[in-house]
Amino acid sequence: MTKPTAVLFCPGRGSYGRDELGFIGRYRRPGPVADALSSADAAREAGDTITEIDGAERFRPSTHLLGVNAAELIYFSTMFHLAELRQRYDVVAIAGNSLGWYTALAAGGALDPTEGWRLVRSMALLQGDVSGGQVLTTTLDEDWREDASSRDELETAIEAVNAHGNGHFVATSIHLGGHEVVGGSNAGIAALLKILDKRQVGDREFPFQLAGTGPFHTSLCESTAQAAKDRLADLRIGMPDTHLIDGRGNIHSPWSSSPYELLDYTLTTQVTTTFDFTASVRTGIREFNPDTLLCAGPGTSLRAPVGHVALAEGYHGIGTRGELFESELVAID
Amino acid sequence: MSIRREALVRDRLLDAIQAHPGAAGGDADLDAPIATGSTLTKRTAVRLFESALQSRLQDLEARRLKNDGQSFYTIGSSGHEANAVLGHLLRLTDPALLHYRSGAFMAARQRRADGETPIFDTMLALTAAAEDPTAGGRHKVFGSHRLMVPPQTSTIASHLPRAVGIAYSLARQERLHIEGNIPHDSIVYCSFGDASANHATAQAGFHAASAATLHRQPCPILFVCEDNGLGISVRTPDDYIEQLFVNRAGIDYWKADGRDLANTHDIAKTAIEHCRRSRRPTFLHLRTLRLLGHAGSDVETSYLDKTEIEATEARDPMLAFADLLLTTGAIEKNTLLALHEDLERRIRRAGVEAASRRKLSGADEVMEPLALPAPQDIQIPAADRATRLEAFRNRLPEDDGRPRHLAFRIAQGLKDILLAHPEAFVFGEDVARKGGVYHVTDDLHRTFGSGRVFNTILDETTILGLASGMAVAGCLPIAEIQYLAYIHNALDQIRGEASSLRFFSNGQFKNPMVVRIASYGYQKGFGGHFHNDNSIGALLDIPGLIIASPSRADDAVGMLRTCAAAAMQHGAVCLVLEPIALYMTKDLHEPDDDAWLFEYPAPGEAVPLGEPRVYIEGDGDGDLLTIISFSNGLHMSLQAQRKLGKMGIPTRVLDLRWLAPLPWDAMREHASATGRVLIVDECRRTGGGPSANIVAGLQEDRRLIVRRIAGDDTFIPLGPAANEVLLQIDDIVTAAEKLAAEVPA
Repeated sequence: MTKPTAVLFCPGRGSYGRDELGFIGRYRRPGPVADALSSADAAREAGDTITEIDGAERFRPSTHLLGVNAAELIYFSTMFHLAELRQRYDVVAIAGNSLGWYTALAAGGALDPTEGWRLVRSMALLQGDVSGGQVLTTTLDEDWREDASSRDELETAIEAVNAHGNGHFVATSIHLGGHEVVGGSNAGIAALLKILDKRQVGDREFPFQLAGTGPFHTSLCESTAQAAKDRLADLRIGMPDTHLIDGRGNIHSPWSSSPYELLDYTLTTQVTTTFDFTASVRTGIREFNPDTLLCAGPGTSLRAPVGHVALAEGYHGIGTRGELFESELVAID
Repeated sequence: MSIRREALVRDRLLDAIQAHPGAAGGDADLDAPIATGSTLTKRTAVRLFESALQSRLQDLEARRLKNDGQSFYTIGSSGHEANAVLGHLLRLTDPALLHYRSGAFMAARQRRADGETPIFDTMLALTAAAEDPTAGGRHKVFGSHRLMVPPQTSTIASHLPRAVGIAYSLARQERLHIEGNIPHDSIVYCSFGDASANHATAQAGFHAASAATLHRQPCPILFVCEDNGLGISVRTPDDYIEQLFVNRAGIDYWKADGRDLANTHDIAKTAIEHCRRSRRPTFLHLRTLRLLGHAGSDVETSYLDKTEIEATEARDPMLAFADLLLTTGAIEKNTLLALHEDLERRIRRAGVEAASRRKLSGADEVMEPLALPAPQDIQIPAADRATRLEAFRNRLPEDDGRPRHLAFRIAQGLKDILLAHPEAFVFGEDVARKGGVYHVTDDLHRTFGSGRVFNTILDETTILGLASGMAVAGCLPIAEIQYLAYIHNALDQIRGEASSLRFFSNGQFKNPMVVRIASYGYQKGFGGHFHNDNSIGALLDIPGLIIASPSRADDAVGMLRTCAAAAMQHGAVCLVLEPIALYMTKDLHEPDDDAWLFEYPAPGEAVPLGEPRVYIEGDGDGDLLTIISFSNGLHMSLQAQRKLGKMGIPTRVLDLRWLAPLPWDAMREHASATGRVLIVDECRRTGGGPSANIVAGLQEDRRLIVRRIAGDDTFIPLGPAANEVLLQIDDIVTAAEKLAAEVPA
């Protein structure tokens, strides 16, 4: 039987939570990803390996959400999960959100699993040096209908914070479907949270600050980009074996991608400028028209953003949030 | 062309790849040149192949969808895929006005911009989906506002004058520090077919570019003639295009073989660099061939032998491109087959999805981009007093205390518009130092210089093409057509280009322009048809136009202000029909009454779009009839009104002022007030003016008695004989007298 086609989305920070404990253990199979995990574990102190952290009895935010731990946990979780998903889906293109872009590079064959881990770990360490944070807010109502005024309100708030000067800086970090992630300095984030009205959407109150993150995808990370270029200049990046869709919505084909362009985008462009995950989902939908929009684990964090875009695009004629869930076009497993 | 021919073309490529012996050795580095001495790398060659194949497979999908009744357009790009090279090499900000066989060009251009979705976009357009990002389902056109590709319709080669206009405007904008919509160091890309090169409009474009060079004006345009040797069924001789263009004055010629990817790349790169550096018109003759007929409906076998068709298919450029990639090791055979399969699958899925999308529904949605601005949304700007004082040499026109005639006031009005709109230009034949043949642009050149007020060559297509090109570049062109009769040879620049741009770009591209046309009959000094043409039917027939037809000096100024603002703020295409016979007219009822001289409207004052002027003597309560007229007809109707009044037939006169949009509400109101309507239309009776339409509209109210008088169906003769066929005051009086005797139901 022909497998359904899928565009695969790799999650970013915040996707490995309490419920994901043991995810790697569940999906781990021998092979290059397991070899990479062994290398990753070998590079760590005993008792602090990824395998052990994943296998811990209890979820400890101070451990599991620590930047470099979270990044590696998510990376390996997705990589193992992908092997399982590929047995059921014909993955025609791969995209990722933020950190998920690094995973996408490895998942799509542009990096081998060990080089992918090296990239993930290096970037997590480098970004850990930059102070600041991210705020998640939404422009949708409970039925995922766009509320134009909230987008205007956010833009006005960003301008107001930046007008403050004196270390107050915020900028759009990620276009995340109907959500917007704003990154900035600590002072900027605090000011933004004060300005923005609280909104209850479903069981969540927006906006809120993301735990354990930094001012990713903003100009505050320029030093990260510079250091990454020095540290990862020898990253063995090659042609992917599957289409990759980057955080601008651009496709890198398996036949003509340029390693130089991929490296430059990965180490510089996306580090310091807005990551447009919305555009990558849109491109995935429009240019591949897959049977399924597949959100890889760990967690289900991408289901909503991918769903937002699917709805906005009228993917497979879907018009409402309810229809979307019923259709199972956005799959999380 | 049967579906089978398409399958043969597809399978021939796959078979050739399948049977290919593979690489003949060489450098495995994809960033190495694909041929000795070429600047094309293997990696770029693969990218170009991807775009070319995308275009080819889109053509095949269009045919499949058409056969299923889901697509409505099958003119393809097959055989022209080498134009992907141009899409790859040009800057994304270089404006591109495209031939309709530019599938590969667009694919290559779009893949270089962030977040573009070229496959789905194309399928949406082919299936006329309302969400087609270019035309909103109104036409299958290659276009993109974001990527500076103004969509072109199938009106063959009518885009060349506009393209030249854009190129011509860049240096002028730079010199005057007008930012505009296009970087000033751009070049304009303009492609067309070999048969289209014969079109008079195309020749006007080439000539305008040549003339620019010979007048030492920069004109950085890259003409690309995609020469496939056929214009539907008519052959173009092999050396035809080369002979016509290799030594054309002022245009530099290059030639490339569209079956040779490296050659096309290297020559195109050189031509682009030359054009960008020299700012001279550059002509790239790109040899292509045509596969699968002119369009899906074209039965090629009716004019070509099967052997000829097969011979052409054997020379399919995709075969040559694939051979190049495989021979040089740029790609492996199985990988190339996988690429083909992947693209074919994606395009098929996109086609199926696009076909399911909503189409335009209801006339209102179809016509939405043609909607004219609401009068209250047009803001009239004015320059500050100090600036005006300097330009008017300390004598502001509103303060001069003397009423003036039409020509005098228009010149002053134009001066104020040039002051209020720094991006505005005035141009045409004789408009600069001479100040126009009727002095209507008097003093503008002296005040603003040759940068903003300039003479053009003697060609209306060039003038209007220049206007629409400047409009796209972000200027406010105010062009002059010297006589109404002269616009007819160039009308497609208004109809097919300027006015259609909003429609075919779903309102994304605007074409702000004002065209002043010295119009109508009754000239005493200069006789004959070509200076007294009174047929405007062809103008009234164009959707989405604003047509102003002032009769008096103050109205003309106010209406020009409205037009300029509507153009600049809303992208309106405005024609202003100025009555030559009234340019210098001072009197109305009797010699030396000076009743047709008027004050200058204060800055910021204007005539609201679509608002007529009504002339009522007394309180109007006892009016027996309503005369509706415009232009010279108004001038005569007002004289008739006086006479009728003396005859005991009180009359009101409504000056339409705007022929598009027509003031229907006001016409109905004043028609109802009297119950009798006489339409005085100085244009030709059979469709020359607006009266037939007005009669039809007013007749919907059965209580009204509606009559009209109009000019005779003829060209205008020389001398006094003109008055035998043009309406006279006595005609109006007689018709009104008769109408007044009729009793409304």
